[in-house]
Amino acid sequence: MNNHVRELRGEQGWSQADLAERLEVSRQTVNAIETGKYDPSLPLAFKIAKLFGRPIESIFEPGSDT
Amino acid sequence: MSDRDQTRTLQQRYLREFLPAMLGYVIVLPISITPLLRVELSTVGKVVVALLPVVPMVFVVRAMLRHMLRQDELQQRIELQAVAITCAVIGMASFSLGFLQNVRVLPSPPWLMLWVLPLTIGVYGVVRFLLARRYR
Repeated sequence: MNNHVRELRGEQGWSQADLAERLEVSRQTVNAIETGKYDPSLPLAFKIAKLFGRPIESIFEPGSDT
Repeated sequence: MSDRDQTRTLQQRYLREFLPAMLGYVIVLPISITPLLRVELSTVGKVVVALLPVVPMVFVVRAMLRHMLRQDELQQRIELQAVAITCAVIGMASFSLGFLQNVRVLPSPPWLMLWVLPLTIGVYGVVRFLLARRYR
C-alpha cells in the first residue's frame, strides 16, 4: 500500500514526533508508515484521515501487490 | 506530552513494575536455595521453599505483559512476532534436546528446566531487537 502521509505531514510543518503525539503512537510507527514498511490498521488509517481532514482513499492507495 | 516524553513515561512505568519484582527475585533466590541445601525440610516445606522464587518472577512476567499491552499497534505486532519466533525456537530446541536425552546422547541434569525461562527471555530479547530494526 502507498500513502501520502509524509507529504501531508510536511504541509502541516509537523515533525514525525509531532504527528506521533497527535495519533498517540510512537515515532517509530509514523516512520514505518511513511516509508511503507508498515500498513496501519483501519482505525489508525481513519484517525490519520480525520487528522488531515481528507478522505481515507486520498491518503492511502493500493500498491502493486494488492 | 511529546512523543519522547510519552515513550519515556511508558519506559518509566515499566521499570517501576519490573525492577522491584526483579529485586525481589534476587533477594528470594538465595533464601530459597540455601535452606534446601542445608536444612532438612518436610516435602511440603521443600515445595514451598523451592517455589519461592516463582512468586517475584510472576510479577516480572506481569510487568512485561502490561508493558506490551500499553504499546501501540506496530510495537504490539513486533512483540507478537517476537513471541511467536521465540516459542518456535525454544519449542524446537527443547523437543530436540528431549530426543537426544532419551537416547542418552546428552545428560539430563535436574537443573536444566531452570534455564528454560531465562533462555526464553534472552531469545525473545534478541529476536525483538532484530525485528524492531526492520521497521526503522
